[in-house]
Amino acid sequence: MEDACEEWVRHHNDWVDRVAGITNANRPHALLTLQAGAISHHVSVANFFVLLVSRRLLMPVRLAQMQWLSIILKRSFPLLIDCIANIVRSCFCPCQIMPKFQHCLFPHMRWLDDHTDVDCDVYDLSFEELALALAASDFSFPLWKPQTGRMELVSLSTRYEKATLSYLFFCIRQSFRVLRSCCDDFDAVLLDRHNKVHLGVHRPCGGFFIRWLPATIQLACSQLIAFTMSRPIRRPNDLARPVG
Amino acid sequence: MTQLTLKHSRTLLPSRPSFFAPWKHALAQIDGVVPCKGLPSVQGVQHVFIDGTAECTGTPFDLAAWGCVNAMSGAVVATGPLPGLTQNNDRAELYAILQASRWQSSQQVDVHLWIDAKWAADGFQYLHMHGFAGRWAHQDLWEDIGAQLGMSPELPPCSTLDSQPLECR
Repeated sequence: MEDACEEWVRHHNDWVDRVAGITNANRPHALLTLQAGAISHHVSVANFFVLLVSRRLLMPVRLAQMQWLSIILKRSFPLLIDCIANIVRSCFCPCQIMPKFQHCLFPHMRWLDDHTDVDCDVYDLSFEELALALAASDFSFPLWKPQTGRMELVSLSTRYEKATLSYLFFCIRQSFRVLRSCCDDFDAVLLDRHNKVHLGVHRPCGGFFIRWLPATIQLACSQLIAFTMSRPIRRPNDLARPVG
Repeated sequence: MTQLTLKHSRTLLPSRPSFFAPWKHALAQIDGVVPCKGLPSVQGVQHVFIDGTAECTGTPFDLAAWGCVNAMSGAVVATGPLPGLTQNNDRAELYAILQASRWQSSQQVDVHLWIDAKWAADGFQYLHMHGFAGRWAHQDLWEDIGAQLGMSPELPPCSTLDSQPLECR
């Protein structure tokens, strides 16, 4: 009797499983085509990152490669940046403060945020704009902390003595140099001679393409305009003014 | 050294693929209202088996669907694709519960739900006992299910049995 009951339950459970499976498979052709393209793109990007990481950081990565592979393949695009950042952190002077800063910086800039991609524009962001935007968002930079007597990640708003834009610019550019060292084609990605005269920077700007919300881009632009309003940036010395 | 593809060299790291917006629009257009069939042909408690399923592509581009069948009449009560941007097996299971609850409410019959997801069965029983859901994942669907239960005060205790391991109570 009990076997019959189990068999009855199993039979109907299999039946409803088949019904749902058939419904799931019976999709419009256009949707399936779209899905196939999306999966293909995802796999190609994942493979690219695996290649990128394994080529440059072959020895350190080898031990953890399977772990990274599983993370990269299973999760969505923004986390790929985390993977890169983690590897960079683990391979470049882990005892120093700059890798910690890089580790905070890259996840913070999740330019491929799945929830905002529809509204995002591609923008040629300069390092100056990024530095001021991060400073305005109370991002922590590596600064000397007198209480502990060493460099720590400190929010600018907690400081009596403000950091200069020159220093923030230096931190960010150094971080991107680490990322750049992972790939010899990064010259095509990073900007080094961009025109930002309309924002008051009268010299070729370094930076990169980014996908951000228009509001965030607007914030970055307005911060730089405010900084250059009284004194445009023409030479490196013009960056040596406190922020905030 | 690694060579960047044109796509990657135009924007830093992977570009937004052109199909992202159409993909989301296509998912947003999936209609969640599915006409229920499977009218009870026999009197008494209706044993409704529900299940959700999702592809496992290992990417964020899965598609999910759900189904409800009435074991007493031998008919498919309702089946359809999971609406919404988030497509996974868990949401499909919950959506199947929601549809079964709607069917029960429309038919005004006693229903015995069978589901192979223990977490969903436990959550449903908790919801049934306390009248509200906890802080669980897929809160929107739990709230819909709770609202559905609240809308049908005549609802008899709807015992949800997990069929994993398959057993009959």
